[in-house]
Amino acid sequence: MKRSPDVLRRGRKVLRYCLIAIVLVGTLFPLVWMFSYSIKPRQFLVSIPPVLLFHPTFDSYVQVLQKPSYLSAYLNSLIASTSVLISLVIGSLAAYSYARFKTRRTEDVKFWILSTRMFPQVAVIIPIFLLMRVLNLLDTNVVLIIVYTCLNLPIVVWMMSGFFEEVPVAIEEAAMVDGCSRLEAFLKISLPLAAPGLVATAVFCFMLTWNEFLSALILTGGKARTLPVELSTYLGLFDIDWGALSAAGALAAAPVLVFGLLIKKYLVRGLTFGVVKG
Amino acid sequence: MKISRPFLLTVPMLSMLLFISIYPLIYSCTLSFFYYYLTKPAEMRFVGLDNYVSALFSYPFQRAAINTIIFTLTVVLAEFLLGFGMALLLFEDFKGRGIVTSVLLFPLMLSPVLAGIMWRLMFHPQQGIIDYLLNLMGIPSILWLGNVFYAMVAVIVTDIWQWTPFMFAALLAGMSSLPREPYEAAQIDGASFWQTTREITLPLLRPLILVFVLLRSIDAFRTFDLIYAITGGGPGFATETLSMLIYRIGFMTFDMGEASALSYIVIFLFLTPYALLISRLLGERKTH
Repeated sequence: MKRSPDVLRRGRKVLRYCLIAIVLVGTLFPLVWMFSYSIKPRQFLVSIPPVLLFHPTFDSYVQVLQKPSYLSAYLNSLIASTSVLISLVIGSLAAYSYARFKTRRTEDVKFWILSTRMFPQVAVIIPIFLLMRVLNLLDTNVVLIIVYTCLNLPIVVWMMSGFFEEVPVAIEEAAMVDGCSRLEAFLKISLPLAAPGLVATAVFCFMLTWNEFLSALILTGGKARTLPVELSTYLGLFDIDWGALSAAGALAAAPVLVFGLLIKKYLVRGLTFGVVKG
Repeated sequence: MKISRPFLLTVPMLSMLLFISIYPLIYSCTLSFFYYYLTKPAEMRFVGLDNYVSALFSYPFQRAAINTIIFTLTVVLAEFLLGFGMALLLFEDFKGRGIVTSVLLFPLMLSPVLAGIMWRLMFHPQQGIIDYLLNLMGIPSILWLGNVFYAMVAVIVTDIWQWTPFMFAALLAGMSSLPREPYEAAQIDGASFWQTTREITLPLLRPLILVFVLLRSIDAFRTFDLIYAITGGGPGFATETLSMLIYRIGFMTFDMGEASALSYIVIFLFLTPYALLISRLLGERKTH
């Protein structure tokens, strides 16, 4: 019995939507599941089988927000994120140079820059740890700012050189014909035109910095600890307070989720180092 | 010597990059030839290749190397297949595709530590939902994080959950940038969906697929945060990858000399071929 093409097409459509729904559920379930623990009343936190219907409460959030080490970690993460601004400035200057003043070696240099991100972080961090120890900079906000600036530079350079290449040279040249110096042309024309790219790069680097774990783990102790490290300290050997942990995680993830959605368009470009434009 | 202004623009960036790349490489190399325990600095002495020899022939290193290879291969293959499937699913536009794509990207935006914590909750022996669901289906509970085999499965599943969206988004973007003509011609010729995919999409995407797979492999190889949060390398050495091994030797045993030697072994043995491959592929793309 041959089905009419219409039925086949509709069947395929339904199948497609079903599969998409399954994928959505699979993606969201862990997130929603964990979030549910952050609003569960205390008595249901350890019940087996897991309780599904309950009156939500914000007790866990209150508990977490009153924890000094958590607040301090949040602040430290914010302070460490300022490294993004520094790397934006330094990186954009270099990116402009690579975009406008190409030499035969530019592609090689750009690839070398990319390769600095390929080394296993543990391997690279040992000498830096030892140096910072000697300089007495361990467990300070400064050391993280320095290291994160360095870590973000390759991304800034790659992304921004792509964005600068998209600004037509003709506009800058027209401005210079009208009497602008190269610097003025850069500041008044190229930069504003590349502004969306700047924002996207900034947010992307912010996401990476906010979530960074290994360097923070190794280079900080109790005082300059950032959020990811703080979260990992809640993983006790036996009794984990899932309510507090979930609330802490939700609050920590909130900024990146919001910002990530804002730059959705450029996310792919950043992740693939400009190989594809999302 | 005339220093051009364009070069000057790049000097600050290059100096900082040198600090994070060349300096550690040189220092690590030097340190790897010494016996140096952070806790016993006075006993630091030159030992030549001892660190390398003891590292290469130690069970933890060999185990970690195997774990890393198994983890990387499994994870990248699975993420590619799933990501490709998802990209195919979402390629044709439909109402709400933008929102769906955004939601599907959520796992990428989380800290891997948080992803690890999330799944640790689900794999938990008593409070975990996964064992509960398994029991409902009549399957006995699995002590996921305490079982040598299943701990690795748990870690792999978590990584797949977090990073498939990367493959998905990248492949989708790649597909969207492909030329339309071959597809139109195929439609006129009456090709089926699978035929189109096999004969047109895959060959055209091949260079991009290679780049994405390589990018993801390099990151999967270095995975630390996620595994640290779920199992911490355990039970025993079951989920200890090379990154975790270096961390444990350097920052729990404080044997900096051996950790440096391990770092070098890892960098050269495994990463140099990766880097060369990526450079060749990126070079290929530029000449297209």
